[in-house]
Amino acid sequence: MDTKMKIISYSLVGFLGVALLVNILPQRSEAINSNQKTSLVKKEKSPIDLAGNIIYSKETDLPVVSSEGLFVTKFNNLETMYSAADIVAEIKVNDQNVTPLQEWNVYTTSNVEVIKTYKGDSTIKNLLIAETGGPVDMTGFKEKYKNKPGAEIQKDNPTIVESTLEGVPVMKKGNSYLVFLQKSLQIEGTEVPDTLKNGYYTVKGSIQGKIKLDKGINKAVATVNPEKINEDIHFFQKMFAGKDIATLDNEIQKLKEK
Amino acid sequence: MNMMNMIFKIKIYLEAVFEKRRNKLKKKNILIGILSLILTFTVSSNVFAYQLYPYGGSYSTPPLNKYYWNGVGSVYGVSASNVQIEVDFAVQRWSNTDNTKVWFIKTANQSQSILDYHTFYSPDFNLLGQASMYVGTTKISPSQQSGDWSWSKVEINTNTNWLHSRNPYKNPDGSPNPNYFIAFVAAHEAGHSLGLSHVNNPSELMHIDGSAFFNNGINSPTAADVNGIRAIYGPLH
Repeated sequence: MDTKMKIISYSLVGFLGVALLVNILPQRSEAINSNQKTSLVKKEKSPIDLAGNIIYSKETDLPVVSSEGLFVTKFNNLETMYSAADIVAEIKVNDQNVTPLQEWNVYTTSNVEVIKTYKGDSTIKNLLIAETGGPVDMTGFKEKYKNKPGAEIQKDNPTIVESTLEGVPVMKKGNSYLVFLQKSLQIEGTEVPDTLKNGYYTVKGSIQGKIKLDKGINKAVATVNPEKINEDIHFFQKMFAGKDIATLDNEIQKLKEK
Repeated sequence: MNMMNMIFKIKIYLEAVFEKRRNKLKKKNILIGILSLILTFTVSSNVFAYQLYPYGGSYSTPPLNKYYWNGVGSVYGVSASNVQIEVDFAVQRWSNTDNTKVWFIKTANQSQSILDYHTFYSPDFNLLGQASMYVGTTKISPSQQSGDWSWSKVEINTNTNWLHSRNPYKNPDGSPNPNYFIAFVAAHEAGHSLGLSHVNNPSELMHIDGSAFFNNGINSPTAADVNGIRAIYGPLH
């Protein structure tokens, strides 16, 4: 090995060592006192850039708040989601009801008209779809939790908010969507509310199998909060938001023919 | 003279050949070096990966000697007292993480708690649990630029299949044991409350679906999750 090669090799080894330390020991980069957090988390990232082909459609004028969910299943691709769904269809929401649950949670039931069936019983023309979330009046919450930590420093405190799971608002009346649906399961021992006793459908993967169709511009559009659309769980919306409805239709038809 | 000339030409030819080989070797070594570097970054970042929220939201002060409140009820197949035990187990596992500023104390006074546990009904049986963050009575979204939170609420869905057949933990009769499943959900949601976002690695607690539990039996914080907590609040020592 000549001298130049030695220099290159030693430099690489040194560089690798530094890279390894930087990756493995990020928590040791800054010692702080017990009442402060490290500045590592205070580096602000830019909001997600929607300037590409993704088109975002705001579903509500209410302030949107989001809970972090944990799901039985996360889908990685359209094929798996299609084969796991009981019904895949284009639907239009004709009517809705919001039902309050414990602790200011709500669920929204949508009576929908089936416009086109890709998978499932094509004789079904109307469905009931239940989704977690919807508009919530927080008046009672404010009274119950008035002594909770942070009350003295809170700023905005809207009374009515749009509650969402992972930043995806529930479907809205008058709008059209392409949905992957699952028939409700009867979990033994769970009391089902009266409005759902005759059976219902949920969006496959909770929030994963749903995309809005904007008939005005003839495109599929994203409804997930723009700051969250790059997360894997929103792959379906990210894949098609901004594309022509015909393109989406064509892709689902291909799955049907497989 | 001719002989000398020939030897000289052969020498020049051989030097050119060796020079070519040296250059090839040099290029090869540089290529290997670059590949090793890429491999090092990839391997190390995967092994120790954790994900924070885009704007770095978390508890506004480290959850060291702070209170949690356990108000869960029963779910199918598990009594309320057993669900409570699993929630306590999950919180203790976070408290016992090495060299972190996480230590929760159980309280019966909900007002002083920064981590509340409830059970709730959702019509969506694919939803295992959810975490929501608050400043006082204002609900905020961790992925938006709404700052840190003062307390959080974890809710476990009663309307899901806690006796899931893929549950790796079995009762003596071979039926799925839901207890560890509940502990997994309780620990995962506490991870969100502490400031950890979802990851794509199913061998970590913060993976977004049940496969971390179903495939890898995880129901408490992993090394990557602990690294994330140290990155947020700093190490204890």
